[in-house]
Amino acid sequence: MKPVISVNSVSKYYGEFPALDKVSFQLGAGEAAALWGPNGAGKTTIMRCLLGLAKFEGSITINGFDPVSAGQQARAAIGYVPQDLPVQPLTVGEMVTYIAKLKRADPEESLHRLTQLGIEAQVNKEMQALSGGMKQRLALALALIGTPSILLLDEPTANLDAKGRAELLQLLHELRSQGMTLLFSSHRPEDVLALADRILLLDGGVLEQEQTPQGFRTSLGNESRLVVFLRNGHRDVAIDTLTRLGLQGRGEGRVVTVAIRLDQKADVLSSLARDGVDIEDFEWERYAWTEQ
Amino acid sequence: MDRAVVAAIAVKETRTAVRHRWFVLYTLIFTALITGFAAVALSASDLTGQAGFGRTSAGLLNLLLLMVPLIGLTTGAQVIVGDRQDRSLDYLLAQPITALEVFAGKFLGAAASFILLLLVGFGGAGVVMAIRGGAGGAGDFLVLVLLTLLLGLAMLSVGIAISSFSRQTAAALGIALTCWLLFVIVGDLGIMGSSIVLGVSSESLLTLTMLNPLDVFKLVSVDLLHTSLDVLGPAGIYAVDRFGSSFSYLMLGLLALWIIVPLPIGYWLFKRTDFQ
Repeated sequence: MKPVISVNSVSKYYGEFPALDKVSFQLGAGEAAALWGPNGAGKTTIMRCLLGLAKFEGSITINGFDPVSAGQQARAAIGYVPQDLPVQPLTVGEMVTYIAKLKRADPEESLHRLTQLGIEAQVNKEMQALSGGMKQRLALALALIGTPSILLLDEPTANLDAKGRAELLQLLHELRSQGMTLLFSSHRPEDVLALADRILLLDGGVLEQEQTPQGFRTSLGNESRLVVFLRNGHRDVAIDTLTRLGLQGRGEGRVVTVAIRLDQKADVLSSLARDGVDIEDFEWERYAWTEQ
Repeated sequence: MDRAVVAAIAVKETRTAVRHRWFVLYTLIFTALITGFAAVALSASDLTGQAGFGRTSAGLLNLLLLMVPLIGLTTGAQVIVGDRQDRSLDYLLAQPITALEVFAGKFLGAAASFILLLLVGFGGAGVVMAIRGGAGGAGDFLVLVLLTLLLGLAMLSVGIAISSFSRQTAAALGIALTCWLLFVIVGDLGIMGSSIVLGVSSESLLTLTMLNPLDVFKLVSVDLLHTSLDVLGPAGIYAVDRFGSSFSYLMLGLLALWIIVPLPIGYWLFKRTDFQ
């Protein structure tokens, strides 16, 4: 199968700092790959190189086009979803029309993408008035204008709540089943396992290894992190409770974070509730392999 | 270069600019100052019996020499770096368009909003002058407006070139303000002062003067507003002797160069800048 994305020995330095060091991988049509690693691993830098936004050593081709010397042709195949869509002083409809013009697509037809993403009711709303979930759907709608064959997504679920995350993953799953090639970065194991055929494990700009979802699941280990969002005034009580359970909690503002075993989640939450800690919300994440 | 893409970016930039608080602030200040100055100048002229567009236009020159470069440089300095800082530039460049289309669109959009700002200000002054001074010398006023647009675009070009390589808006504004000080103080008062102390020849003085777009604007404005260049001292007298009737064309060409030359430099800097 001819690769649609081909990255060959790509290195990128910011001064002395190696953001990427001889990274190579290929992605065929219809594949879904995840870039996985801690902050500073090089996930976003790879995306910037693929889009021709950063200069680099080595070579990259997108559908056979070099994103630096033939950037326009290379980017025509890509729909890009940034982690945080830059908010413009435009309505949703104006933004869609604007991006459609840049992509030389039909603005009227492009507005149908809003329907596809379930945000057609927001068409006259100012972008800054959108919720995180709506904004991310808009980012995806904008990326799909011009029917690209590749979607590049930089931490697409990072700013979403659980419901928004599930909805976005469902949409991406549908796109993937329609044959679209996906390359996305994430720090959430659930997202990676839900979408990816292959996982590219990056650390310090180096592509350490490539895993299947099964291998990735095994490598996650038995540790996890619980993040508890408290109502005001209960942080010290929460830390005391965790200490009594033999756990070391860290508090900052209204947030308490604690490392726990996979089987401790329910015990910790019920102990906190029993001690009168008013829990507003919580998130639970399994550790990334690089953090073990 | 796809003109439709450039136009789309330019239109969007203009719309964004006119909704920006800097635009509103600058428009209010510029309009208030220029209209207020025109009203005061006309009142003073009434006392001496010399009212009208012509004399007021000449009087506006010094105010324009301070205000327009300041607004042009600082407006231009924010055009690209602001988008770079909030990542919207990355998002724009991630679309299937070229860097040249982005740069051209941003310049044209900024230029359109800047011209609008200047025209609003001049409109206010023009109305006051028409009411208070009659229509006499309206041609001079229009010449001054056109020359000011050229000066403003020149300063905008320099500002955009500054913005092209800057990492932070504050840094870009700092460089823009330094340029403004250099043009206003070092370029004008500094050259004049040092020429007296050092005994610089009239020819050298004129050459130095022509390197400063503000002095070029002043020379061509004084020339076209039918005032003798003698008022500008030895450089003015030498200019009349040396270039005669072609002097205005030379100065207009120089102002045009100040608009054109910073743009390819800015584009080159824009393309080679690679910040994370």
